[in-house]
Amino acid sequence: MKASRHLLVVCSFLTIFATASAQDMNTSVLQQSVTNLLIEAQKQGLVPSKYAKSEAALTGLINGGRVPEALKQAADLITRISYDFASGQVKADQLKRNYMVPTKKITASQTAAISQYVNGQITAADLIQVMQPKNEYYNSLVSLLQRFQQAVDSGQLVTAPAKLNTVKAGAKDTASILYARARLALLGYDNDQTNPAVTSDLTESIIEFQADHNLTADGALGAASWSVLDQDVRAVITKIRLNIDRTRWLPDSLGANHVFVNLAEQQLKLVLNSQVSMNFKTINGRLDRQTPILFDSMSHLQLNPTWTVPQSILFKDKLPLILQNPGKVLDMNMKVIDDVTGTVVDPYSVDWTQVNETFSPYTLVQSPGPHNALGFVKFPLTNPYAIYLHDTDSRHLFANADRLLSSGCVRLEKPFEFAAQILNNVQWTAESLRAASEFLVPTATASTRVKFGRSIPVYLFYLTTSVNANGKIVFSKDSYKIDSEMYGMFAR
Amino acid sequence: MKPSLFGKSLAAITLLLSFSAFAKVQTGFVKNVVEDDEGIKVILSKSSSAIKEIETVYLINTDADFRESRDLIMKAKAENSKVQISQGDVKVGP
Repeated sequence: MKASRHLLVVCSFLTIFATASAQDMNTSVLQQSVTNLLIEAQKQGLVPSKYAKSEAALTGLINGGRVPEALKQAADLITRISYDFASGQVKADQLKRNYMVPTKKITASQTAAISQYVNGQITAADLIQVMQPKNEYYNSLVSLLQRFQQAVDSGQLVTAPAKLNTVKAGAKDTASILYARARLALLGYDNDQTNPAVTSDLTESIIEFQADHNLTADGALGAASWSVLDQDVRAVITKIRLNIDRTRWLPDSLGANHVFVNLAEQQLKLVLNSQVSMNFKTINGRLDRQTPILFDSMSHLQLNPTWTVPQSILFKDKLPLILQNPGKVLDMNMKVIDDVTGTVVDPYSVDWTQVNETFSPYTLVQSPGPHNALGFVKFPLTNPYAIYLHDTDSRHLFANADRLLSSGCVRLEKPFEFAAQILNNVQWTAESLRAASEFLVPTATASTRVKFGRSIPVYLFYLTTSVNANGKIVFSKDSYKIDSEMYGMFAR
Repeated sequence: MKPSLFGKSLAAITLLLSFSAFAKVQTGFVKNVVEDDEGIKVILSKSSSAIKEIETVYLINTDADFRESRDLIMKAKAENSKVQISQGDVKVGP
């Protein structure tokens, strides 16, 4: 489909110009149309350098008087820029990871707009308007980019003092104070930028900034806070561009009801009826078991889920204990399942000394209960990677600033409240869900399934720069090194 | 894995996929597939009808071709076809 539309655009372009003689062709118009498109697209984060080789090739064709080839090259380039602008200069499937992100389709009206542009019927700005992604994350990041770009272009960025001192109540270093005020304002934390003293407005801004960035929210801007606040503005602009490019993967509408997990920020946002219903912390995959970026859905929850012990944990942690005493299986509230017959077997009847990586026809399944690794509630998704959302029996880990600790699944800080919101607090509330799960534990032999009555889209996404619900910019660490990988691809 | 490699009969197919975890070649009929958070365990039997000489193979779900491999193995299980799994490739066929 994509290729045929592309061909249609090229053919349309060639047809128009075939009516004019090659000599009459004003080749500068060709180059100008490409340049104009890149100028407009750059305002919304597109990185023009990725097309430098193609532009040079176009110039070569024009200079060599090879007008027909130049026409085709120009049409190709305009189409490619337009497609990239709409769906990402880097595509998810180009990255070295298992991602489940559907390729964004170019609509018929967008294809028509590209044809109109190459035919000179609409301006670059018109084409950009048709091609641009419409999702909220894209829009907020583009606004952010423009704010930062304007700050750079204006030449009025406050320069960092030679030494950044701690800014807190009673501090006297006016250079550090004024610089802190300017930087906070640039990120959206309003304060009086002309005031060289630490007053309540500045302290409040510092506290809010620290809380948003998982820093100790004490109102004292020390080394840790400065490392986030005092970033090179040009590096921030690059970071915003990389994030904008990822938001091109998102659909224009994420749905009136959806779940959005920002893996970089380790936060979940539940949107119901187009309103943010709740935000809370998540625990995501550790660096060697990264939670993939994926677009999925969920339609039910499971109270009191069982947990199947992964093979790596069986061999590393459980088998040594079981070899000493097979009764440990029962102590861990687990059952041994014979994988061939599907039946539960007595752990004492298994010759565990024979179990190894090529002969492991037994599976350990942890029964429901307060010590179940999935906690009391699980939210299954549909992907083939066994990635889903769930409660945890280790809730204390949510106190950690860095929470990349799971095998890839997403653990939820407030699973019962989350479930109750999705279930409209009618049939179930957080309290009744909690009570039901605890009540069921002593007798539960199978988990209880509660349907949502609708399918909720779930986006596991990765934004290292985002705008929070209060309009403030939040930077997150590029823990999964996705920014780095994409940056490398732009440089190539 | 290329979809075009699928023929009319799965028994005639040879598909090359990438697994990195196991160097040993393991062959058999897929009797069961057990999923956990980190991958799938494939239970292989030497006999298509009886449960004989059981072996297990574990495929990690972060491997590049995991999705295709999983689909292939599930299909082999449904069709009671023989599979051969070793480092670097999986073959399905007689």
